[in-house]
Amino acid sequence: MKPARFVGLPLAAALTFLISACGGGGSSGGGGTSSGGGGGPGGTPAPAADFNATPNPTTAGTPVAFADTSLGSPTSWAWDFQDDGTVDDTTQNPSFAFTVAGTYTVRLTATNAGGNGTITKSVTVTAAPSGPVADIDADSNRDGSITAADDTNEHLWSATQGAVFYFNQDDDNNNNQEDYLDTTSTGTDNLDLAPIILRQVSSPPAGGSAVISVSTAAQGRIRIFRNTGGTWTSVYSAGASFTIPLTDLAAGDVQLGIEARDRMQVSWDGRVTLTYEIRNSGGTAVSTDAVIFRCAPPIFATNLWTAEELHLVSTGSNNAAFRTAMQGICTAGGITYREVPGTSYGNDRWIQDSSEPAVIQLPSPTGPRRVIDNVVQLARWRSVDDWCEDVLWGPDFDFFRRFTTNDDSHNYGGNLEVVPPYTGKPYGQIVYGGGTGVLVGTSTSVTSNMHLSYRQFFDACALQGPSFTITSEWLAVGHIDEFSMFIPAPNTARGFICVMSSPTRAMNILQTMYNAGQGSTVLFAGRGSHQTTVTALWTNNALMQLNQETQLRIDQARNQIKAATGLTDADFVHIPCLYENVGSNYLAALNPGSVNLITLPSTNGTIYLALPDPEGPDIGGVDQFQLDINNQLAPYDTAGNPYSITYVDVFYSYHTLLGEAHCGSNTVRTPPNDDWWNK
Amino acid sequence: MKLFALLMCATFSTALLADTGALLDQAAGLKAGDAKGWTVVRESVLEQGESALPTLRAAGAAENWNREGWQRAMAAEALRLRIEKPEWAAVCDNPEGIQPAVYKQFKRARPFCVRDLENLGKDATPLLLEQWFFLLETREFTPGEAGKLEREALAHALLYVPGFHADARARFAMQLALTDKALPDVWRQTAAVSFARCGGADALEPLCAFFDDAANALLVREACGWAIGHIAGMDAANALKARLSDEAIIAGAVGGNLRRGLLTGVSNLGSSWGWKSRGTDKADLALQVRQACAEIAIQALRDMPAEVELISRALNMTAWKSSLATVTELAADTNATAETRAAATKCLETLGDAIKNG
Repeated sequence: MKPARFVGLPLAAALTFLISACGGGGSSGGGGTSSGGGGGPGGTPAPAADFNATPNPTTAGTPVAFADTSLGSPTSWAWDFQDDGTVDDTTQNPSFAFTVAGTYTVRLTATNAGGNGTITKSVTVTAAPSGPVADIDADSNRDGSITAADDTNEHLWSATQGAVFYFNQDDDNNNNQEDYLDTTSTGTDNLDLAPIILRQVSSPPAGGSAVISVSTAAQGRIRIFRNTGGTWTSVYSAGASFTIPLTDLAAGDVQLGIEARDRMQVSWDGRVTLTYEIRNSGGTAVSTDAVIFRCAPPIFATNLWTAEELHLVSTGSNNAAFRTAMQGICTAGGITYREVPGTSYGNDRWIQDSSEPAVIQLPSPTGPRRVIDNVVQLARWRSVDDWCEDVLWGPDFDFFRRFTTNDDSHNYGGNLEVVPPYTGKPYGQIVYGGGTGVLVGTSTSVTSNMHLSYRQFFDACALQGPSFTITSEWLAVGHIDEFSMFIPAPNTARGFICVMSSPTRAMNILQTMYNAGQGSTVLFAGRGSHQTTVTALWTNNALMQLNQETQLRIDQARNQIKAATGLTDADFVHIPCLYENVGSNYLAALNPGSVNLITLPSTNGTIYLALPDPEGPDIGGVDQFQLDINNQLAPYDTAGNPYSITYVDVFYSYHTLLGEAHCGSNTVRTPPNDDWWNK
Repeated sequence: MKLFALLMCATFSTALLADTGALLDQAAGLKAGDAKGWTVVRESVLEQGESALPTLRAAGAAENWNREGWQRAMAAEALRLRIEKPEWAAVCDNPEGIQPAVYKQFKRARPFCVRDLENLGKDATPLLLEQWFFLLETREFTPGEAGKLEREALAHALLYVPGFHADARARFAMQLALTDKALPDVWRQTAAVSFARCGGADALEPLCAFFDDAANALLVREACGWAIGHIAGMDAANALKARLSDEAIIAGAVGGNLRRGLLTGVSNLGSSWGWKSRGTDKADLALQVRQACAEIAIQALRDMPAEVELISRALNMTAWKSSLATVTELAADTNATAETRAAATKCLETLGDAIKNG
């Protein structure tokens, strides 16, 4: 039990204290006196110490939050809360509860290489109120349990404080509905509830009440259970507040658990403040406490995360070669290979488009964190969309159902990638395709975008935002993985590169071969009416013109990535690919687009890359497009994390159906070993 | 007896030949969209089998593909191909990309069939024209919205592919489609480009006339601007320049569609890679045309800076080396309007790379 934060009773005593100042040669002002700030031996100025104390005045037993606001970039701090010469804390922003009423002089000494600066300020402490005390506690310091250490600033969200809760969408009890729809919680599902304790109330007011109010934006978007003798039943799912009988609180602590039952969106950032009031018989609050929670957002996987499971749809002999190749890669990399039976899903093979894999991380009492796998189902409305529900969903594997009935190919998973982490974006940044622009060769302007509900969701999740758009409206399918992909490159400063299709490189190869008298060289040998020659392609000026303009659109996308992320030209690698008009001036890759690759970093250190075989012109058994791709990727192929490149046959199984390898796969990955709430 | 048999055979053969010719005459007189009439003719000829081929070959010879005779030549060649290349005819009769069972497997489950028809090659053009001219109008598609999309996809492919192959035999059919007010504007837009690519220099004057005629559909006039850019020569450059000098067009008449169409034409005509692929024998002409296109685009920066997106594309496609310096000067030219300077500055964001890649 601990004192209340905010007290509604008249103060029993209040003392006014002087501002105590100390330190030589400093300036005074505001609520304190400071010293220091002179130049150090190396010319670095010593800090000008300063801080804020909140709340001030306060009541005995209530933690006061001290926030360092010193200038001069101090590197260490010494806090003496009673100015008794004993350093009580050395963290930058500590908290401290004064237990006895009085006026305290608080001294901060801030130090850097140039010396130190000192300031003192006073804190006024009044006696703790008598009567009942409202006290609501949660795991606000995120160590997986509720202790006295959680009390500090439990009503504020920061990098060090604020409880985490979960949008309970898995199905621990296997009743085939998301657990947040259940009005009772049992078994392992109880682990998915973030614990809350309402502390025992002594001397409850006669005829009074205990009311827990839910912050406005969260009303109706959370559910709170109460544990009564091991049975968890819902006590809140809608409305502004709920009550707990005071008699129960008088008898002892009351245990609650909270879950979210809605996703983050523009109107709700996933945060909820529960304000707990003990009211007298007249309905006036006599004691109040509050605690804040934030719903754990899904963290979308990047291609830098280690691959755990690869999922492909089997379409029988049609994609047998592809599946065999991928199974071999998975075996070599220790990656679980899983086939989804196409017959169960109308042979809808575009599993990438169905959903976007992510993880949800929660504080845990038994380890550094708890990880719940997750996928976000995209607004697509085709057969294999149900794969995530049928195959993945279950205990500790949840999924977000579609947000909208809108079905536009720009909503699909192939149109969503995550730029891997970089400075300032520890979890990377979400990017998708769309925009407004003219179709190639025309002045017809078109607009296409991922549905607003998804874009707003990504930004409301905040960790991987702000999301941004790159141009893709000129494509028949409209996906960014048709021309770009982020892959690991451990020997670069960022640790990754962006591979982009380059029609220019492809045209250069055709031109060089044609001029060298190799125009009769065949492409797509044995591919029926698709078979063609270097001459047929190169001398079609309409096709070359189209590809030049396609390059401009890809360059535009590259510039958009650079503008949003700070990537530079050195972070991009360009590999040959031609495009063609497949209908109504919308484009698709003419040859299998190798950029639409599957990236499988493995636990053995090898980075497996499965690239669609570009089926470029062949000279002496060497595919000239493959040769160029290999040369472009070679600088990033390191001994420590070697690339293992495989060209996979996707021609009839995917390419002629307007997709490639990445489109036909979905990968469950292992998240990084850190906690999002500290970021 | 043997002599009688020989005489009978010769008579029969002559009759066949005469019949084939007459049937082709009949085909030449059919109206567009008369699938029923065409089917009668077609089946009658096909019943004759390979014996009809000599007549068909003669009737479909290149010299017969003129304004007066192209329909008869097209009928003859389509029939010849149906006999000699039945697999091509099967593709044209039912392209996979508009069959629901196929396109529902596409990554985007919509009908697309350009690839099906394009991969048949230029020689298959008569079969595409047969579909376009005689059969499309009454062809059955899936009921409802899906069928509309299938129809759109097939129509676009039938109009686009002859132009992709720049098959001169299709120029009259494409011109007819361009001028057919009963057709949707977007189909006629595709026809305009194909007419330019199939008709070459001969298409320039009709396209310009169509563009200039305010009575014509605006979207189709706009597409004539794109199409002029597919006629490789200085005459096309001059035609674009003249129209982009028109005060009404500069001012953005009729919603800016016309100037946007023309600027797209500049982009298409100036394409440095388009010119490279035309071969070294066109190198001198390429230099003239690209320089002219670069100059037109730079003038457009002064005249209509609001169209910076399309002007930038034209400059990038033309990739004319000295335009970089000129646009740089323009961006700093205090005599230019603020809008022009801003547009020039915007163009500089990508022009360097475009010239490097051009």
